[in-house]
Amino acid sequence: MANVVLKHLTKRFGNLVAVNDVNLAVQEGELMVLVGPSGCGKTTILRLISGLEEVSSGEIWLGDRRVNELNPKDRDLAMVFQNYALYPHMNVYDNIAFGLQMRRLPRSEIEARVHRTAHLLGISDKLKNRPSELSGGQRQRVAVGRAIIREPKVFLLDEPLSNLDAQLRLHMRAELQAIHRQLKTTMIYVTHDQVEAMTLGQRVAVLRDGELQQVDTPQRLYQHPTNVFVAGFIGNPAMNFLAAEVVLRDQHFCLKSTAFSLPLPENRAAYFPKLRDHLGHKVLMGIRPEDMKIELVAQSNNGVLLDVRVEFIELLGSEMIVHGRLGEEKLVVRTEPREVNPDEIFQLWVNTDKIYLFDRETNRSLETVSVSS
Amino acid sequence: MSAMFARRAKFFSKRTGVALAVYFCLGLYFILLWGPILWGVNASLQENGTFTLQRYLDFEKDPKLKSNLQNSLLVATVTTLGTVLVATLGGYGLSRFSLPGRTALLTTVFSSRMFPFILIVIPIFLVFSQLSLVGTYLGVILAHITLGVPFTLWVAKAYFDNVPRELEEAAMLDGCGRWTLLRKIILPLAAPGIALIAFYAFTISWGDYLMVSWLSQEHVNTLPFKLQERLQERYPPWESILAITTLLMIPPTLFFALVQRWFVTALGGRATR
Repeated sequence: MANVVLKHLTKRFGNLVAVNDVNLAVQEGELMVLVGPSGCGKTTILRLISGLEEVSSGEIWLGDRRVNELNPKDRDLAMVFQNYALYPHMNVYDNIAFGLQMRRLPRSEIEARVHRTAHLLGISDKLKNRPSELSGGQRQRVAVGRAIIREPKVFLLDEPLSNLDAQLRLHMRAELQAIHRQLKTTMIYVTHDQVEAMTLGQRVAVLRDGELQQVDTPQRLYQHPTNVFVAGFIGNPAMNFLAAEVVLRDQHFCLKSTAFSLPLPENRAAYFPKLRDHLGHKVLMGIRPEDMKIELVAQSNNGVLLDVRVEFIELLGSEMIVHGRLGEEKLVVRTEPREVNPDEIFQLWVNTDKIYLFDRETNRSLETVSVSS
Repeated sequence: MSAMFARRAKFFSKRTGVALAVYFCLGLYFILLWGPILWGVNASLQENGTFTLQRYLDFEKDPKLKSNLQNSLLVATVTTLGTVLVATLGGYGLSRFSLPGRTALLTTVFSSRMFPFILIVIPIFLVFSQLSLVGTYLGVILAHITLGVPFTLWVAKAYFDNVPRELEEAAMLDGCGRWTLLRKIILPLAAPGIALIAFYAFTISWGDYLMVSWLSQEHVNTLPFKLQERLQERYPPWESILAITTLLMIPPTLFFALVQRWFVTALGGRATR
């Protein structure tokens, strides 16, 4: 086990900056998820840590060792690849044993460890099969087995579940969590799926265009996004963003646009210490789909009713996603199933305690949160 | 009902017609290709209408022919090994490392195969004369490798291109250096391609007459050279010549039998799965 520290890590491919000045500290035994849209540099970071790519500038530390110049084989890491990368000409036993064979461990120990690993992953009866004879989930297990058998300092997982069907993915996600709990090894997990990131990660690093946006626990990412990108990326359906002007009404802050006027409760306004600087200016207001409800009567003092026209509806059984328009702006609401029809106008209750505010120029949150790492 | 039968009958006759045409063409091809060969083998085994192995037994009495056969085997074997070595290492390098002028290099190497051999023979002869390689085994072998490499280098590169990079990366993380990687992962996966390369190199060398006729200078005479020699006799001993041709066919046939299992995958399959 070791902690992983990235210092000003930068990777350029020609003119393209794939990873830009990333600083990240992964604690010993932590499960850190790197998440972001494709091309955000998350896989590149993993490959830099593994040594499969050379660092352009910056440093990588594994424990107390700077590993920039070390060969992949000398870094004592294991990686699970997106397409598993099992050796097609070897059977499952040899696939799992290969890393130990390369390290010239005694045959009896290799055998014992392969059987133990196979047992842990439930593939003991497949040891003689070739990878081509396995199902997707079984291949995935072999790939994981190949990584964990070596008991490396750090596991790197590159979208390991993206080739599996939804149900199996859920199942394997739980298994990976269980494996992490059992082995307590530092894991760095790359995914583009924010749900996977939120459910799996002890902390999540959100990346965009090679730059680190925010590193935090899933809950804090959801509750205190540092900028518009993180706010929009974390949460499903994504947060709604509406342009509004900050005004004062009866000594209280209020968010105003042609379509609505929302008083900001005192305790919520306190979250934004520099709000006064934005008086008379436009800001970006964020509200999550789940922080609104279709209601006829306001539920609390901090609730406000707005008229919204329904465009279309997605019924998901236990809940309903309503796509509507508030004035000219699109709005997505997640609510309990109700009788609503397209083109109908309904009243929307907005929980003003859950309003987020962002600077329109910098896209940064008006909350004072820092990009911790 | 009857209409349906009529339709079905028509359908069958059409299919049968197509099948007949296909088999006819293939049969014709087979006769043209194998007819003369089989006739030749047969003729080499006949003496006035009776079966005999005499001409083959006569090889024993011909020390020159024995040395020709030895030369052929030696040259072809070393050429095969050399070509496989150059093509796999070169192909791997060209597949995995981006070198400046890689495409230009590949195109240039391959385009040398667009010219008739004779165009290459003359400059090789002149260069090898300078290097005192004419009349040596090394000279003939190097010349044969030169003939074999352009095509096989491409085959090797294409084959290595098909081996997913992740496999190498996984192996590197598993603790392989470049050489172990090549030996344990890449070469086993590229085995069908390498079998193809080996067979190609062997047949090029084994069947070559042109290069040998220029470079041998009576020192490295191979079996095809011997064949030509006998053909130029005043009264060519046809049965004996046919025995030599039959002999010439045996090693490539054996070689093919040995590697044909891989050929199917080499020509139609993929490296992984």
